[in-house]
Amino acid sequence: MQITCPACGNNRHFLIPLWVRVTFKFNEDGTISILHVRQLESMEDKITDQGKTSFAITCKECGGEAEVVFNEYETLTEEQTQQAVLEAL
Amino acid sequence: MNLLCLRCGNTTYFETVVETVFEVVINEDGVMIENAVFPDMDYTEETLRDNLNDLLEYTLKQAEPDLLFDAETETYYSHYFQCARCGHEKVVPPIKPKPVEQSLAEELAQHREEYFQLRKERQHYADYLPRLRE
Repeated sequence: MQITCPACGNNRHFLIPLWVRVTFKFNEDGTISILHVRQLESMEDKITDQGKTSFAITCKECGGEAEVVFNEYETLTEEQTQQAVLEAL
Repeated sequence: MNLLCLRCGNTTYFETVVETVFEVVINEDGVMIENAVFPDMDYTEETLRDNLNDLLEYTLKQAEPDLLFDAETETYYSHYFQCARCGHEKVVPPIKPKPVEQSLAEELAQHREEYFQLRKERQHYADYLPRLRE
């Protein structure tokens, strides 16, 4: 699987919006202290839904929408596959 | 006291759901999820705190028609917060009684001297304004 930014070529750092359940308490001085944060969505679902929803994974560098390729070897020819395997070895 | 659970009377511990932003880091170990840290700020933490404060302020400022009505207790409650002690979903912003205020006539009489002093000051400054034309 590959995640890339078509705009700037970044393939390392991306931003993803996630819903979380927050447990907090009111302090006596009127401030709030956060006691616990629990993630409500799975990252796998978000990555799978990339391109289908408006809550997209975005590039951390330029803010552009990221592109997710689940099987980057799918489009390779046999020769390219062999070359990639040899390079990996 | 900002929120009150209608079942257990808790006014301290609550839960809610907010959206925040995490960072997806892809390296040799695989895909990892971490806090989105920029050189000057932790964006994840900042977004989480801001969204929580915004939601809380919005709930406390909501008028009764925007809240949900509970026929059992005949009160309006917010559907954004849950009690963290008993898990009850009916949490209300408690009604704060207004402080007893003095009547307008009494208030005017009390500040009468101060007002006259203010008028005198205004007259003083009006008399000593720079004259642009003779």
